[in-house]
Amino acid sequence: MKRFTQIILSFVLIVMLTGCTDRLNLEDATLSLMVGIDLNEKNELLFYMTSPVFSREAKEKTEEYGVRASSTRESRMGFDEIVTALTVSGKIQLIVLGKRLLQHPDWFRLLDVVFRDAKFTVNARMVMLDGSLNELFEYKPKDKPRLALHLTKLIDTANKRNLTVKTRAQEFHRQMFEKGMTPHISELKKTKHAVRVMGTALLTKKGVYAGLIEPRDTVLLQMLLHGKQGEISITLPVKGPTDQNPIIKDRVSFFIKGVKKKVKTTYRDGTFHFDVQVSLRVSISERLFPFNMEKDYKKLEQMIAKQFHKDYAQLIKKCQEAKTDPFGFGLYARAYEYKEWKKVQDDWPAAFAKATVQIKPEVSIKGNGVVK
Amino acid sequence: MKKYAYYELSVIQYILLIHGTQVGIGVLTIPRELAEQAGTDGWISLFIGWAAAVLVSLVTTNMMKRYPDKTIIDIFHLLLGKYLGKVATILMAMYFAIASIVFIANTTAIINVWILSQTPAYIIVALFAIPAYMVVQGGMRVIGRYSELVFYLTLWMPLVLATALKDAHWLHLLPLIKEGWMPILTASQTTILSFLGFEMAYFVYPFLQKKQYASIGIVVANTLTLLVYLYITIICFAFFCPDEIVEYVWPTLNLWKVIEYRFLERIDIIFLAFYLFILSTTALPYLYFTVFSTSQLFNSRDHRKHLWVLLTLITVMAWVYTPSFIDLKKMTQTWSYAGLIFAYLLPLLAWGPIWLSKRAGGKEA
Repeated sequence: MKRFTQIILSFVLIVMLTGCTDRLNLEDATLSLMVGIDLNEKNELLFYMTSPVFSREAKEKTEEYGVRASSTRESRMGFDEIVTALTVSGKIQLIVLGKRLLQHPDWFRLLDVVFRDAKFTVNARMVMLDGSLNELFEYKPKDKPRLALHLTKLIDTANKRNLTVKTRAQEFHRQMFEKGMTPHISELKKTKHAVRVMGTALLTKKGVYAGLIEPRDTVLLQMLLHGKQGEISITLPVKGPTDQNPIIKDRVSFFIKGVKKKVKTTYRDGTFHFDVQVSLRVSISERLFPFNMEKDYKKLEQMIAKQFHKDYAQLIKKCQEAKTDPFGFGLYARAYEYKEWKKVQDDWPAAFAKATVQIKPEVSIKGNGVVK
Repeated sequence: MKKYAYYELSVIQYILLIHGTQVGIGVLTIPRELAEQAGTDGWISLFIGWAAAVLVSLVTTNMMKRYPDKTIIDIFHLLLGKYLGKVATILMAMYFAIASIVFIANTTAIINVWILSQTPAYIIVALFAIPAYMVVQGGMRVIGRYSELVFYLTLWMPLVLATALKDAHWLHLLPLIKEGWMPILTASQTTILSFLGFEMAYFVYPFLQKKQYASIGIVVANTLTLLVYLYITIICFAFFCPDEIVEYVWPTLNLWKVIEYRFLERIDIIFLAFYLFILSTTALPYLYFTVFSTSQLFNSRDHRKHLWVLLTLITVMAWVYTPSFIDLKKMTQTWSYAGLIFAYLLPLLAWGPIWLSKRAGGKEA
């Protein structure tokens, strides 16, 4: 009798498991890999998406559509009307935002569904496109894999060499909510023959586009944010003791082997002061001017440090002028000067614009390559 | 002579049964609840909650020590007489029934939001009910073994969760005690409730084989729970920014959502499916003690019929009425208050009389 009940119960369990109404067969799903949001000239919201097509008969292996809608979820209805199967948002790799959209504050609310709907992935990379999204989604390069996969790879690898940031949706959410920093996302541009990584787009606290940090400055930003991550290669101009050569400039390139950052936060005379000690361990990979390394390596270290100091000062000034703090200095202000922070926390970028930031790089050359 | 000798529990099972009952839905919500009240200092409140729970647990074990072979229900009957004892038993059964129902409703709601958004709640409840019946019908010993097994099965979770640490911002935790001690004390109300589950000692104590380890065991169980909460809370605080974490209803699940491997995405789904095991180690003891109380009430030694009725009732209830998220919050609140009375107040109030009666009554019990 007992055995019998157990068999009956197990049977019921197994039969009911397939009864879950959430089942979705793969052939009924259209996996959107990249979605885009943009504004047209009449300030209407446009939503784009592209998804792979798994069919032997289809000649093109992707489908892409754009619809006009008032919200992200509403746009799904529009997509379901035209795409092969049911749009599924769990596999999105990229969320592309048009530059026109980013000129309007509070567009972030459009992404509410990303965080509210548990089925949405929060690991999509946030990207800004300088140009019209239409052009990007229509783009079908012959020498590249499917566009969405190509762009994902492009951003991931560019990020590995620190040419752009990789801000996933979850991280972007944090940056939007964190009072002590402003968000920053990757910036792309569709040129005639390719899609190009332009660097890092700076956004204000409300998400409005505030400027571009070029790849070579993004490297500096990334070093402050994450220390050594991926591969960091830097080429700097230094004043070498050379004759003037019109073609070959005085450049030295090196890998960064290690970064150590120490921030001292103080508040005096009505402003915040951040003294950032950055110790860099570098290994020279290219030197375009003659130099006696064995004798004068200290001198080269100082020259590099000086150049770093100059570049950092410029970058920070640029960010301060744009009323942004992509470095997250506000976190330090909160951690070490909580009383003063409380007064300015609701408008940290303005307080940061007035703050004094001193970056003091310390360079030590650990390697010189395989030639002298 | 021993009434419950057949079902004896080992010390490990005793610890993990109590620990399993304590760790439930709280793990998913506690980082937010603490952040709402005390910001990133909330983790300090956990220690206060732990201290309170340990104190009361020790009082409880001390109380149970007076009657080593009796559950709380037998003690009620002994001390309060036949009729008052019955009333106390009914109240006890109601408390456990409320706990089980609220717990199952909460679990179902989470599954409905995160995994099966289109499936009706009663199907999920029915799917829970079948394995629940299979485990609970085996009685105390099976539940104890089940809790132990689940504990070992879920040991990988903290390791995987540690991968989220690479994006942690430890600066969030500074400065310590930013707004003074008041918010920390307020938040400890929440933490005291999240240690609910040690009241299992009322029933589990007589089943314990080596009674000399009862006090140590319950302290270990509470401390294990503290470690779980502390780990989750600190990771969440370091990962999410303090202004953001209050936005999430279940921050712990959002944390799992971020973890991604080349070959595997959406670990939160897998985690949640596995977490159902942990949730079941809370639900099953509560279910068991509900039917244990009621079957004692009717003087029947077989709790299985009561269990069958209870589970059917819960499933039918889910079919008739699915609570909204606001109702759930209210229900959870009710459970919390009831827990405050049954787990915290009861031992503190009962300890004195029991101690005295034992003194006066000598050895007749």
